[in-house]
Formats: sequence, C-alpha cells, structure tokens
Amino acid sequence: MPVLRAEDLTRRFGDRDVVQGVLLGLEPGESAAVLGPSGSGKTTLLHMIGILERPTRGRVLLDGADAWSGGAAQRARRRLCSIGFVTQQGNLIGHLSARDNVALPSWRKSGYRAGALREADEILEQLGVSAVAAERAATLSAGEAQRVAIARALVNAPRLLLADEPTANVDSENGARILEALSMAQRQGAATLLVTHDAAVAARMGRILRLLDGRLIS
Amino acid sequence: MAAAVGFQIPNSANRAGYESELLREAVSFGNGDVRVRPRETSIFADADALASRLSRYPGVRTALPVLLLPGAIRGKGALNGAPVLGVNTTSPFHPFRLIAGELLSSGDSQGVLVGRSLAERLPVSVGDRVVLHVLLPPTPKMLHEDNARRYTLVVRGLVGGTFGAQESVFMDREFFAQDLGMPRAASMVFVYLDNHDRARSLAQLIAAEMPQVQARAWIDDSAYLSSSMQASRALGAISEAMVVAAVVIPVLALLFVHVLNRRRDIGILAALGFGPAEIFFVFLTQALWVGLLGSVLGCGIGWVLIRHFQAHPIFEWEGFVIRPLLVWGSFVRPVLVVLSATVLAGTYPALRAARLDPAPVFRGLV
Repeated sequence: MPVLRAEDLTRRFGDRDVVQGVLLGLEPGESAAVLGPSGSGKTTLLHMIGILERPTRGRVLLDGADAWSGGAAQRARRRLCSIGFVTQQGNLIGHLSARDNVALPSWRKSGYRAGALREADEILEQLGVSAVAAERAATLSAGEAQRVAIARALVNAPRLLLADEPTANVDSENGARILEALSMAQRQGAATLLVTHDAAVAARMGRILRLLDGRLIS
Repeated sequence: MAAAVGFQIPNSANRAGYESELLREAVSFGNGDVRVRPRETSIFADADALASRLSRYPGVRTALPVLLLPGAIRGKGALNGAPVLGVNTTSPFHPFRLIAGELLSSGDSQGVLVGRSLAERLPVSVGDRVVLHVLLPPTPKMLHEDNARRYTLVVRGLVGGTFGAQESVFMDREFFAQDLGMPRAASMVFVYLDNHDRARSLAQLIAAEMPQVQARAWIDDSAYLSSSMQASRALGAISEAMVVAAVVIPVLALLFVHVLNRRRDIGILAALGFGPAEIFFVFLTQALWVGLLGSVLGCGIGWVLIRHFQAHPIFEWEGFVIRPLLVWGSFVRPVLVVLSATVLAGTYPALRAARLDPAPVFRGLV
C-alpha cells in the first residue's frame, strides 16, 4: 500500500486554480522531487498533502486513510504521528534550545519528556549537530538550523517526510549535508517528497515530477 | 495583577474589620443580638425569670435585663435630658464600653456611669457629683405619688458606644429597680449570642415560643446598622468589579499582543501536531501563571499593607477603631477574583491562538 496517494488534488485561490488535478503516489522508502519555478504551486501542493491547507477538490490518502477526515484534533494527531515537515526557513522555535525543539514532537506524542530528550540527543548525534544541542535555536547558523529542523521532522519516525526548498538558504556544502540528512529518512523507510526549483537538488531524489502552473506535467 | 490583589486584600480586610467593629459596637457593646421587649405592656414585671429562660437557648452567652426610663442630669452646668438605663454593669456583656473610671458594683446606690459625649456637655468627669432626675413609669402604683425621682450620685466611670451609650446614663439595675419598687422589672432584655448570624432565627424561635414578647434580631431592629452593613457589602462588590475591570482589560491586551507576537511559534506547534485544545490550554496556562505570580506578589503587598493599617488604623474615634481583619477570606477571595478574571481575560487570546492557521507560517508569511 502506498504511504501517500493524492487524487485530483486541486486548490483554488479566488478565481485561479493554483494546483489543478494533481495525482501522485509514494511507496515506503521512495523519494520524489517536485520541480518547478516560483509560483507554480509547489508549496500549496505540499501543504495540502501535509494537512495544512484543505484542498478545494480531491483527496489525500495516508496509508490508505483520508488525511483530511475527522476534526482538527484528529488531523493534528495525524500530522504528529505520520508526517515530518522541513521548510525553507527551518521554522524552529527561537527561544528554545535545539534539543528542546527536536524533543517537542516526541514529547507531545509520548507525554514523556525524559524519553523525548534522549531521542532528541540520539538523532542530533546522527545528523552531526549534537554540538549545538544546548544552544538557543535563534543563535544557530542557517545550515545548523536546517539540520536541527530535519532532526525534529524525523524524531517521531514519520511515514512521510515533506521538505519545502530545504537547501534554498544555505551554501552548497551545507546543502549537501542537508540532502544527506534527508536520505536518512529514506533509510528509516519513510517516503520523502521534496519540492524545489533547483534541478540539481531534485536530481538527488528517486523521481522527479515537474509542476507548471499548478499541473504536473511529468 | 499584583497591584490589584495587593489593593483588594487590605481593602477586603478593612471592610471586614469595619463590619466586625460595627457589629461589636452595635451588638456586643450595644443592644445585643436579639432585643426582647414586652408586646402589650411597657415593662416586664419579672424580667429576671425571662432572662433566665432566654439564657437557656443554645448559643446564648448572656441575657441582660435593662430598665430604661427617661431622665435628666445636671453636672456643673445646665440640666440635660438623657435616657437612664439600669443594667448589671458587671455582666460580661452590656450596652456600653467603659472608657474611664470603673464599673458599678452590684447594688451600688451612690454611683453612676455617664456617656462620654454627655459628660463633656455637663461638664463632669470621673469622681464628680451629678444630680439625676428619673421619670417613673405610669404604673397604677405610681398614680398618686410623685412621678419623678431625684438622686445625687458620683460619676464612677465614663462610657462610650456609638449606638446610644455616648448620650446615656447607666445605673445599677439591682438598686435602681429596687428603689423604684419593682425589684425584678426591666423594660427589655438584650440577648447576646456567640454567633451574630443566628440572631434572626433565634428571634423567630423566641417569638414563636413566647407570644407575650416581641423579639427582634439586630438586623431587623436597627435600620442604620443593617443599611451600613449592606452599604459596606455593596462597596465591596463595586471594588471587586473595579478590580476585575482593572485586571481583565490589561491582561486581555497583554495576552492578545503576546499571541500576536508568538503567531510563528503557534503555527509551528500546530504544524508539528499540537491540536487546537492543546494550544488553547498552553496559552490559558500562561494566563493562569501570570495570575498566580501576580497573586503571590499581591499577597505579599497586601500583607505589608495590612500590617501597616493594623498599626495605623484608617478610622479611630472613641474606641471605634477600624483595623483590617486578618481572616482567610481577606486573602482567598481577592486571589480567586483576580485569578478568575485572569483566566477570563486569557480565554479570548488563547482561543485566537488555538484557531491560528499554520499554513501562512510555513509559507514564511508570519
């Protein structure tokens, strides 16, 4: 059974369909890049799949179940347990330490803080950022912040990892480290969907899907 | 928040102190919790038996017979009209407070206690002689006799008491009643209880069991006293309402701005999988912490102010002193009011936080 299946996914803003009739699927451990220019609807597509923006039409199936069904609390729980997010800005909580940022989803899921911190330490070690674990997120460099964000996305061992231009704000050396970190998700068996306008980054994924004016063209 | 609690605690304590002092003055050093008067006649012929019966009701500390007659008193100046009360002044409760001198001994035929305001007008002080004229009650026995009695007495003490004692003259009832030929008579019996709140129910019970008497609780017998208590409570409620407004408006604004400033963090939490209810409670808990911290600081401020007002009362006159009453309610009620107001004020910002759309955060728009 595919981890992700998007059917006829459409999002309309005003009188314009930003994303139109997208159909895609991802198997466990599979990775794909959605490649497209700015404004092509990449982020909107990712948000619909990530249960952040409700599709105007179509549906998203996670492990065969409708991701948008149920109430807000159920959808939040689905995001917590099944989806990991990495965004362009990292989106860490600035006043918390890197370690606390990573531990947050795990703590929320298990309700056990000590265990969550232990898991955070492990994953920060695996991603090579354990040296900054105690530092406030706001003081981290862009590359460090992005790797900490990946650690946070992976800490609950998600079935689906969504990454939105994760290398856009970092230099090529840090970009390579970030892509290496993302590949860890695949090794853990998660399906990875990455959106980017950088063909070189897209080439690191198993499959490339091109998005133009909201439509998948390949 | 701390200022609101710190203001309201001494305010509540002073108000409680005022009500307590008012009751002490008007009831404990006044006319008692329940005032028992004859229904048909002007005098109880055997008030001692009635007092003895009344003192057997549960919660009664003292039942004090009082013989009240109109009179006039002359000291060093002009004659002044004054009510004359015959009471057992050595009773643990009596309708005055001794300010200077000493109480009358049982059977004292030479001494008198004079209300302080009256003494200033006469003018007399402890040890001076006064001439007292007492108008006798119109009983059949007195019809053919002189209807007034004249005494020359020594002022043994000066007494106070806001509810009448300042302007009254007190004689020993045992001597007074005996001298008038009515050794066990009294115009009324003042009943003093250990709990002022039970006065009304006891008055009803007495009236039901003794149809020949009229029994009235202090709250029904003294319109001034009951109005004063009501006014004090109304002022307390107004003060609480002002505190609620003083807390709700700034806390609401503060937490609302806090939520606006934390939209990015809230969006991240929502996107990570925190549900609306959890985000709501995170922010409501923050409001509660603000309230708790403010309450703790406010309790400290309130405690210091209470100590100050205990040393320097806000009102002091003739023994009527308003000191803050240190009871749990003086702290608990303001804290609960402020905490409730804080939670109320925190609810709207917390709701706004819970309903925040995380998508704009992840688009980098926030």
